[in-house]
Parts: sequence; structure tokens; C-alpha cells
Amino acid sequence: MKHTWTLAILLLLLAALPCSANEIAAQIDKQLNSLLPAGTAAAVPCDEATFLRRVSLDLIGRIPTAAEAQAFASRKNPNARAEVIAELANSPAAAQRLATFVRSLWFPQTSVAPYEYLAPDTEAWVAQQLRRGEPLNEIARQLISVSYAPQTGAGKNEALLSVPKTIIEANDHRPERMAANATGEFLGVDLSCAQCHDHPFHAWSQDQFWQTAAYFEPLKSGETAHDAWQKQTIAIPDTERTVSPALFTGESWSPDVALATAISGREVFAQWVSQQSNRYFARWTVNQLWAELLGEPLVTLHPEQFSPAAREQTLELLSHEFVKRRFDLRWLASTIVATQAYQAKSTANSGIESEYPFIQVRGLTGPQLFDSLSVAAGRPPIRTDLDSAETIVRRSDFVAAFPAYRTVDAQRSATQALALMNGPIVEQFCVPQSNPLVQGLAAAPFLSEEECVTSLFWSTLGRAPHDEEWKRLSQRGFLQEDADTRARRLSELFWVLINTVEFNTNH
Amino acid sequence: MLQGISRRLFCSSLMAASTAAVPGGSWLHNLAAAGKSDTAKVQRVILLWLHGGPATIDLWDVKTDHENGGPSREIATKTPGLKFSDHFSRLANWSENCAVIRSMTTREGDHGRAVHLARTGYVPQAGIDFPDLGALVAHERFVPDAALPGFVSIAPPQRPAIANSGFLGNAAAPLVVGEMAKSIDDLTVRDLEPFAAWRTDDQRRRVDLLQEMNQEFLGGKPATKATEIGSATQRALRMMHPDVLAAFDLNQETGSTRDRYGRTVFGQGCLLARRLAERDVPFIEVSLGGWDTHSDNFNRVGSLARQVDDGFASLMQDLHDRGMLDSTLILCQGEFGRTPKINANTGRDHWPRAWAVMMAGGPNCRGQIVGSTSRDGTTVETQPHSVPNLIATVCANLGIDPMKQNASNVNRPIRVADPDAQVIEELV
Repeated sequence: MKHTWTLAILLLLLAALPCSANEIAAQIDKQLNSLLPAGTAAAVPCDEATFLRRVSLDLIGRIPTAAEAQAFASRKNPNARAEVIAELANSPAAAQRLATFVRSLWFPQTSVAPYEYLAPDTEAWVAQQLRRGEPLNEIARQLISVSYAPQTGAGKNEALLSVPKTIIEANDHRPERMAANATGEFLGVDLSCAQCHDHPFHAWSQDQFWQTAAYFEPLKSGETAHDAWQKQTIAIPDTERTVSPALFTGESWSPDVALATAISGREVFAQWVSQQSNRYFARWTVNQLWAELLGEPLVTLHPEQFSPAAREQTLELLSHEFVKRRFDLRWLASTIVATQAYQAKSTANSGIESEYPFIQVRGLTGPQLFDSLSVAAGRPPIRTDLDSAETIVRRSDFVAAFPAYRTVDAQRSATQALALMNGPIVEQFCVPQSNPLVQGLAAAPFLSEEECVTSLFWSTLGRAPHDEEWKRLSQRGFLQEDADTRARRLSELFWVLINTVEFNTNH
Repeated sequence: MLQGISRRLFCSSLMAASTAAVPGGSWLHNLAAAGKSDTAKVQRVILLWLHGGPATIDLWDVKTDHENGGPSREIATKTPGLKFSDHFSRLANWSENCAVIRSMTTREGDHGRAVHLARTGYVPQAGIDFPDLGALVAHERFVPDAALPGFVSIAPPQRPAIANSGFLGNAAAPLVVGEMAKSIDDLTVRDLEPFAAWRTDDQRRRVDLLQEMNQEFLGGKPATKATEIGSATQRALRMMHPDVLAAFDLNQETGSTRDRYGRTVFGQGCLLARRLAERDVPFIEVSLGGWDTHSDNFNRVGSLARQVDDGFASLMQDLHDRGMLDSTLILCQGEFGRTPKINANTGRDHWPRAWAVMMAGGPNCRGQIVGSTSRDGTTVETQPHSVPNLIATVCANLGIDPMKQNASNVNRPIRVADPDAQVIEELV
């Protein structure tokens, strides 16, 4: 009986859901277009080839294959963009790409030594949760509240990974570091500047920092009282003071009282973070995913800066809808990429003074770069569950040399540029023996040089060469009709194309 | 990462406001007006980085008349009153171009935090990505078309422990030669040459096509991430020039020169530093690890110090012979000193409260001893100096305003040296 009611309520709720991703995107477009200069109706959209490349990199972490790019270019359907967004966002690869985003958002310290060993398990677990359709707030709750105790095969279902203890291990088991991590990276609230002493112009006091840290003190073993966490205290270093758990917002919030057993303060804090009414969690997630996909956050997080009202409204709208849709991260990503702001030409802002959130040219993250090189060379993307250990190690070696996991952090040093031009892993991509594309073209005498070159362009840049490029290719001898040297010539051209700025940016 | 849409506006207005409060350049101007030497005479810095916290009480501030001195002995140098540890018999000949700061005092006793402080001049602060001194110098001395980068780090310990360009970005990032090098053969720059199969052929057609495609793609667009990636590619292409390969080729030195520097990673690293100094690289560092001597301090310090003596003294000799000693400042330091009291394992533990730095070369190092420690070596008695003071002094020698502000990755500009920094008067 109870279940029937729940179902009925759910159905009612579903019916009440006002609009699809595209309708929300349309509302956002309307709000943001008010920021465009007078006389401009909408941001100039990018072309179809650029769009497919951009959205593939963003949603599934790699460039489209030549076949995908050519098929998309020939679609005449006005809904083609919406359809491709839906296809990509629902693929397993999208869960993996979003898991990388989530892991590097919540645990940025696991991108570098000495905690980088935690990254693969954390990402694998988050990806599994996302594939199973777990809401993001629930994923956060589990990660923050994970028990110190060893887990036994993740319960009934052996195929489920156990919750990684990243929050504990990436913070050296220290309550104050876990607290700073859970507030700073899960909520976007930086309390840690108040760790040592009060700052006259900062919003948070030293007591507030340590009251938050008090939630992260482990319960004494054998504790059974369900309110034991409230009596937990922590001493503030270099002072005589000791404080108990209290929320930095000043709310007096208590967890679900139906609990029969003792829960730790950390579990309580995790519940507070993940509850629907938490006013930080959704906003922070939306703003950061926006930054990941457009290159800059929608709304500034600095207390002394202001964002235009239209941007604030868009953030509110997106956060509200995100909560309403059970913190569905795939929905959020699909909605953001459906906006005109995302689909604009990356040079649309040149010469315009405007507060409109124009999309920025972004660098590729390490994983995006490696997986795109694989696709460009005609190899399938690497799968950690299927590929050989050697292949997986090669990918992780490469990513270690390009250690950026968020597009906003992707930089390029001369050392990295050298690795991309002369490094052993890139050599493997370029030489015909291990480049199935070049090998295949070289072994196809029925194809003309022009056809081979066109194919390389589609595989790497997702487009055909233009007239000027044909002239250059000819001048440089890349169109020479000589079957014996074709493999070498195509290898070199492949090298050129994957080293271009065009290949190395999401533009 | 800097949040916010008005990043550019915010930074520029704030920069303008703060520049008004501390007029740019006036700081150096005051120094010059005070009759100090030609501040811009120093062209480059070589940092001999002693990783792990060297027992400076056994190197530059030996306590022969106290039990804390242990078995360490001193020798006279060419400079009356200035004595070094007896491990530095060759360097003692160059004392007239050295200065020892015996009164360094800091509060960071953890390696990670102390390394951060010693190399950036700031204690770690959550979220702020501070650059190393090397990156600060490379940033100030940036030459757009230089074949070699402005910061070269030779044989560093594993990153990201050290060597970071922080918020200054990749143009100031170090070129790493032989990260964690175990042998002299590891002192190479990776990926500087084309794939073996392509090496003998003409590289021009592909490099030319690449450059043309990039030029077209970037043409007429405002500075973006694309520009940054394009310029990294250009820098890398310049580094593939045969002259750069030659700069890193130690086989071009005679056997006797290589012997003089010592056939160790550190010694050959110093020789490489000299070759790079000759090619106008503004900041070069050579690392030597192993100074974390919690046990068997005296034997280990002895063997490390002799490596330093060979490399350091040879570097002084060669720079002098080439007329470059006055324009090259050499810093020899680690992240802190070690406990004067000798522990049960004949070792010394971490001691940030009183330690020493050796500075050499440049126009101002003339055999000075700056500051002093107590008889037992535990405390600084006169002229205490912080790391920011040292960094401000190095900057002043280079003609870089230590109070200059750089846009950072957080919502405020950050000065080259901490605002409280004071230059070490004797050394500017």
C-alpha cells in the first residue's frame, strides 16, 4: 500500500516536471541574451564540425572518429545537435568523463603525488555510481561519510565497488584537513584560511573552522548512543580552547533521528552536505561544471566581486532544476551544452564588450589528449576493464606527463610540447607500425594521395582540408604520388596534425 | 584558479590601486640613491640546492669550541676571520667572492613546508600557487625568442616537491634536466630530438607545415589558451635547435675539466650550469639530495660537502676565468639547518631556528660574515634574517623590485617577496 502511494507521488512529481533539458536551456538563453550588446539577438553559433568535436570532448572525453564527424556533417535534421547531445550524454563514456570531473573537483589533491594513487579507484567508483543513476548528492554523502572500518564486498551485490576512503586517506586521517576538504571542495566554502587565527576581513572565524573539524573526529570505539557525535570535541592547537561540532552557517541542524545506532559526526556532516536544502552544494556543482564546459564559472565566487543579475538567475535556475532532478549530473551536463552560450563560436566575443558568458578556448586535459590521440590514430579508446595492463600503463604514463584533469587547469609547458613532438608514446601513435589509420591508408593503392590526406584530416581535426591547406600540402610535398614513401609521408602529416593548436584545444 | 568573470578588471584595478600606494620602482630607486652598488649588474643566479636540510653547523658556522660542534673542523680562508669547514679546501681560495649569512632563522621544521618557504619566500597558504624564486627570475627576465628557457633545474628531486612556476604559468616553468638523476648519463633533457627513425632526415617540411597551420589558426584572435599552447610549441621547436642540444652536451668539455668538477651527478650538474650560464640562462639550479642526516651525520655531510666543494669551487674558477663572476650570483642553501645537539645516532635533526646560507659571486660578496649564532649554535644572536629577506636581497642584486606585484591564481596580487622583507644591507 505504502509503495503504491510512493509510486503515485513519484508519478505526480514526474508529471509536474516542467521542462526538458532543451526547454531549460531555452530559458537560460533568454536570461543570458539580455547581457549581449544592444542589437545582438544571440551569440554567433559555431559550425557543425566544431560543435561535434567540442561536445564529444566535453561529454565523452575524446574527439569524434572520422566516421562520426562525417556522418554528423551530413545530417540535415534541425534537431541534430540535440540528438547528438542525448546520445553522448547517455553513453558509459560520459559517466567516466564526469567521474574524472567529480574526482578532480572534490579531491584535487589526488591529481598529484603523494595521493595520486587514490585517483583510479575513486574515479572508478564514482563512474559506477553515475552509470547506475545515483544522484550526485548521494555520491557525495557516501564519500564523505565512508567508514574507517573495512568493508565486506560492498554488501549483497559483489559487482559493486566499495566506497573509496579517499576523504580519509587523501587528508592523512586528520579531522581538520577532512573538514577543509569537505567544505572547500564539496561546497566551495573556504574555511581553511581561518585555521590558524581569525582574519579581520574574512567571513569565517577560527572557532567556526574547528567546530567544522569537530564533526570529523572519529567516534570512540564502542560508542552506542545515537547522539554521541554531539559530545565529540576537538582542541584548537596553540590555544586553551576546545569546541564541539557546529555548522558554520549557524543553523541548528540535526540528522534523521530515526537512527538506531551511533553515527559519527562525519556521517552527520555528510547528511547535511547532501540534503536537498543545502544552499551551497548544488550551486557549487553547477558553477564548476559550467566552468569546466565553458572555461569560466558562470558566477564569481569571490565575495568582493559581483556577477550580473542574469548570470545569478541562470545559476539559480540551473541549481534549482538540478536539485529537482535528483542531482542528475548527466542532465546538468546535457543542459549546459544545449545552451547558445556553449554552442557559440569561440571567437564570438572578439571586439565585444559584454558580460555575456562567451565560451572560452580550452586546453585538453591529459586523458582527453591521450584518448583523442588514440581515436585519431584509428585505435579504439582504452578501457581499463578490457585492455592489457601494458596499454593501461602507457595511458597513465602519458597522463602523468600531462597532469591536468580539469579543462580550466590545462596548461602547456615547453617540456610537454617536446613530449608531444618527440616523446616515445607519441612516436607509437605516429609510426605506421602502430598507427592503424596510416597503415590502412598506405596499404590501399586504390586511394589517391588526396583521399588519404582528406582521411587524415577528418580523423584528427574532424574536417576536410581547405583550399589554402591543399596548396600548402602540395608545396611541402605531402601530395607526392609515390607509393613507396606514402606510409612515411602520412606518418609525418599525422605528426603535424596532432601537434597543431587546433588539435590541442577545445575551441 | 581565479574565479570570476571580472578577473581582468578586478586585477587591473586592484593593481593600479596598490601601485599607487607603493609607487613602482621607487624601492630600487631608494637603494640606488642610498649609494648602493649598481643593482642591475647581476645577470643570472645559480642556486646550489642542498635538499633535505644541510647541517650548516658543519659547513659554514662550525662550533669547534663547543661539544655541539662534534668532530667538525675549520680551515682558514683567504679572508681573515672567515673560516669554512675543512671540507671546503678548494672553495676557501674563493672566500673573497663569498659571503656567509650565519643568522637565518625560520619557523618551519617540516620538509615540505620549509622547502616551500625556502624556495618561494612564502609559507604555504591554502589555494595559493606560489612560484619558486627561479620562476620569478625567469618571469622577470623573460626573453620571448630565447632558445633556452629562463629557468633550468638540474637533477631535482621528484616533482612536485620542488620546482614549480606556480601562478606565473608555464612560460616561467623550469626545464628539467635529469629529474631524480642517479648517474651522470641521466643528465639529459628528454624528447629534445626527433624520433630515432626520423632523426637523419630533413625536419623542415613538417615543422614548416605545422607552423603555418598554427599561424593561420591563431591569426587575428585575442590571447587565449590557444595562444599559450601555440607559444609552448614554438618554445619547444626553438629548443630543438642544434645549439641547444650542444649546450647540454657535456662531452664537448675536456676530460680534465670534467674531472675538476667531480665525476658526480652534482659536479657534472655544476658544469652544465656553467655551460647554461654562458648561454645567458637567467636562473639555473643544481640539486644535491641526501642532507637529511638524522643518523651518521658527520660521515654523510663529509662526503656530500666534498662534492659541493668540487662543483662549487670549479664553478667559481670558470666563471672568474670567463669574466662572469661579478655578473653571476650563486646561492648555496637548503630548507633549514640541523640541531646543534648531536642525537644518539650521531645524527642531527631538523633545526629551522638558526642556520646558514652561502652566497657567492656578484658585485657584493666580498668575504662578509652576516650575523652570528650563539656559542652552542642553537640561536641567532645578531642580525636575524628571514627567507623573504634573502629573496629580496637576491632580487635587489638582479635589479628586480622585490615589492613588484604579480597577478596570482587567487583574487589578489602577490609581491615577488613578502611585504615585510628587508634587504640584507651588507649584500646589496
